[in-house]
Amino acid sequence: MSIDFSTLQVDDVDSLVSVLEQQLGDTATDWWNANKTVVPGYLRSLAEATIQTRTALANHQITPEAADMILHNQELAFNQTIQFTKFMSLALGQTLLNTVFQVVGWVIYNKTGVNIAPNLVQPTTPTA
Amino acid sequence: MLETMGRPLIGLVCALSLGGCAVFAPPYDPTLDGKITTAYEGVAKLAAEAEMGLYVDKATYPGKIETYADIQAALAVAAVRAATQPYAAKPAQKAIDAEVSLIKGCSAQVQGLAQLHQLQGIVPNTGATTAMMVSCDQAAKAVTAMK
Repeated sequence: MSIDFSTLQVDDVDSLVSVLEQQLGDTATDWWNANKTVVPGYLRSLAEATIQTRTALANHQITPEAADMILHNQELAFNQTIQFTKFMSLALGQTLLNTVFQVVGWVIYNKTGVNIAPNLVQPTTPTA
Repeated sequence: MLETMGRPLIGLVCALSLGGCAVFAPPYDPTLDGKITTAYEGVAKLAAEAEMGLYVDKATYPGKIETYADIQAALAVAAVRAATQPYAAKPAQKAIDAEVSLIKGCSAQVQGLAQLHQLQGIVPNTGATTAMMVSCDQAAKAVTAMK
């Protein structure tokens, strides 16, 4: 469902989170589905900060220049969130690899005494 | 030179043994963890002080330059340490590049807050510290992802 941005009125953090999630889900469904567990927390932080900045700007607590700097930093931070999801996918791959070969390494070690995965199989030295 | 020669050697050693090698991501490095934790604690303290209203007046900036510099120094050391981690395959190289980028992203946010502090002052509850906390949180999580 497309949004008419010219009439978009968002009054609270929850509503903004909802709009952001909907837009991300529509724009990049696969990416959104793959990162649903990581990204929402950061989206909420972004939404909370955005509402705070908007309120402070409306109340003349900060200048438009300060609001611009704050939102530019938010843009950089969300760009980094996208990079973070890529990193976490690679880290998950490494964790899965380690999990499988830890089992394989122990299976071989326990039968043969040969440790072919010393980073993952670390038998305790028997005490004398 | 040493670095470029060392990485294929690591790959060969990994090929000869099972698992445990940095194929997709670098292994956990407690020294790097210590350095990013030090920086993150500095960032969190700075953000907390800003949100308590200590830096509303931009005239407070000169008194905090040393704090900003200490955080930036810790992040610079962490970035160098992260960049020189061994890896055994191209995906792990990508993960290392991403990890370095996340640490540098945290550093850029600290710089951004310093600039805001210097030019405008930091008004509490305006969203000014959130981006820095998010970026530095991600850098710290990346470093400890393989713990």
